[in-house]
Amino acid sequence: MNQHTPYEITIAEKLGHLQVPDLREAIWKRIEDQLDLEFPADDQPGGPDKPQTPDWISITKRFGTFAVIVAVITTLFIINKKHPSEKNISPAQAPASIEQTFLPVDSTSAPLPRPVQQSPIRQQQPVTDNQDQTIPGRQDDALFIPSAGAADDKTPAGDSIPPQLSAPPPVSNNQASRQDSTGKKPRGFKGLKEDDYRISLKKDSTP
Amino acid sequence: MQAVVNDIEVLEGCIANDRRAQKLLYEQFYEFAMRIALRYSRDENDAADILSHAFVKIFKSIRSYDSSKGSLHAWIKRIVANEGLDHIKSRERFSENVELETVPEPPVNNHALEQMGAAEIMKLIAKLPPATHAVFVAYAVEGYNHREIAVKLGISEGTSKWHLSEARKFLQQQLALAR
Repeated sequence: MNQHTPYEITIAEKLGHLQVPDLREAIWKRIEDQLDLEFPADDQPGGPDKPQTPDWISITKRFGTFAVIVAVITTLFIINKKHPSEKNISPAQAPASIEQTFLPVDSTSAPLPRPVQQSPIRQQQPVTDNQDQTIPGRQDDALFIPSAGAADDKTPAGDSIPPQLSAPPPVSNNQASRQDSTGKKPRGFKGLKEDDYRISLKKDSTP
Repeated sequence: MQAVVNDIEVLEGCIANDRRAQKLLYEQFYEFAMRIALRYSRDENDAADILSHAFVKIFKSIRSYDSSKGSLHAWIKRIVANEGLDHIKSRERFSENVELETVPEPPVNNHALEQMGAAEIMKLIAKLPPATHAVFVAYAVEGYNHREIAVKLGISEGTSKWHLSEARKFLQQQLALAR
């Protein structure tokens, strides 16, 4: 069925004697250019095949060097961040973001003072007066106080609290709790303010 | 030629990317490979493209040549023919619309064909549409079967048979006119 016909065999034989154009040198030039692009010539017969091995070695060396440099820089950066030199950071000059960074370290070394134990006198001290009284050994205490966002705003003003943090707290139920912290024995029920007592007295006097 | 190309030094030189050995191999196979390339070409420029690409592939993959599996001639012939098919495939979209189970064999005046020279026959074949041209040369001249052609060109065997049938009809008409 699908066999070669006699004329196809004749065609195949005839094409075997086809005259070949003399493009030998021109085509070789194209081949050589292409080979030069892909494989640089190795003029020494029997020499090693260079197309891939040197590339891999150089790439590996470059990448390895780069990786080592990056690793060293990263390690130095992490060490520097974990163990900063304290002499470079004065409590008054430390920005809030740096103070927050040291919060976990400070909380372990010095316990967070409780609001109940704070004295109102110390709370009302102006910040500017206390800046010169910074105790070097207490630097950490000063650092963690403003950053303790979870703590009440009645947190005693530390020696190094920035001025904007010493603003008076908003008038609210916190006042009652502040008065409780003066050392006086609390009267009445917890949660009731003095205003509440006044209201109850007025009610008694009206009829 | 066979004795020369089997020279181990030439092959080893080509494997070692030695330009002198590569050029020696190229020159020894130039005519043989160029004839194959011309069968898949419309003109000499096409053939030069096919040949240059084929020899670059030959030198890139000469490590994979195994003399125990066949001659270097057969290995190079297959690479050049494949490059010729790829060349036609790149410029022609092969239609999958028509398929045939069997290929009709129209009667062809073989006497008229014998009177023609190789160049005239080549001009005749070059008049075929590129896809039909590729299938006819691959089947009738190079000796591929339809399954191999289908795989090479990415078409079905039925489509390959249809192209062969179209080529035979065309050649019958042309040779009848030539009579």
